[in-house]
Amino acid sequence: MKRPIYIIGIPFLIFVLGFSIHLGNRSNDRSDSTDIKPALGFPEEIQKILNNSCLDCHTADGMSEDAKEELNFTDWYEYEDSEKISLLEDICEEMGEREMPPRKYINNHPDSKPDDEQIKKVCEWTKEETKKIME
Amino acid sequence: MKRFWKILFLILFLGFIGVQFFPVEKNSGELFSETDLIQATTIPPDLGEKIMTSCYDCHSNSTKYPWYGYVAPVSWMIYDHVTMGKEKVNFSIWGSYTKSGQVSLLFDMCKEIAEETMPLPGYQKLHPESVFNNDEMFNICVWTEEETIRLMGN
Repeated sequence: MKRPIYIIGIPFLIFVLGFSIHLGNRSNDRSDSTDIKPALGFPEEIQKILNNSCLDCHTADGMSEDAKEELNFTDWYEYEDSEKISLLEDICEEMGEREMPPRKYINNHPDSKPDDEQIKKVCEWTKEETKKIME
Repeated sequence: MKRFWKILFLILFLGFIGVQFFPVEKNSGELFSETDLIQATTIPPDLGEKIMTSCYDCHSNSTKYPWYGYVAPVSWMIYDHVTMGKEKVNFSIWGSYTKSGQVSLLFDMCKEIAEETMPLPGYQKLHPESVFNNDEMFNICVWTEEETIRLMGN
């Protein structure tokens, strides 16, 4: 009667082990990827805030498909002007209303939470950028 | 057991009567103002009419209320939707938005209509006339593009 325990138990242990290694790797990938962020040609100050709060998801190799679809900074210069203007407005609005970064992400990455000063800077930048495009 | 249902029904009924004493403000401003999308842009009349039918209940100063819109708690829900809708875009004050604000909204209009995220699915069910067919979607996007080019001056 002991055998069934092995039949179920051993594959189960292998599965658990494999899955935890998989999870471990995944979180390693993530912490590596935070170091490699695309340079966007934005002011250094803004790039820093985006690196810290946005680019884990909103780049071509970001971790969320939905996020990429909404806004992909890797392809920023391929957006049409009108889409850029719409996105710039959304960036300031979503950060200002603290909809972004998502609460769940902030819980896992407490340092990603932008402070009021950073949000103000981003919004000033989005307005300037918009003005430039409209000229 | 019978008594239980009777009491429950009575409580619900009284509750329903009770909430009617908490009315909300109605969104019934002027329909044709100078700053309205229809007046302030070069939108073709048929498209303007379609936008009015499909969007103005939540995105203007003038909501056409159905009969059940006067009954709480439906009236509360409508109030919330209209407040949120007008915050995103209020076609009655289109002319008072900045040029870049208009460009941004034009882009969103084409996108949301073409992706069928607007009108809201629940609204579409209750108002079948609000649904955009493919031609209408196409024409809206052609127009938003034209208007964008006009605003951006190139």
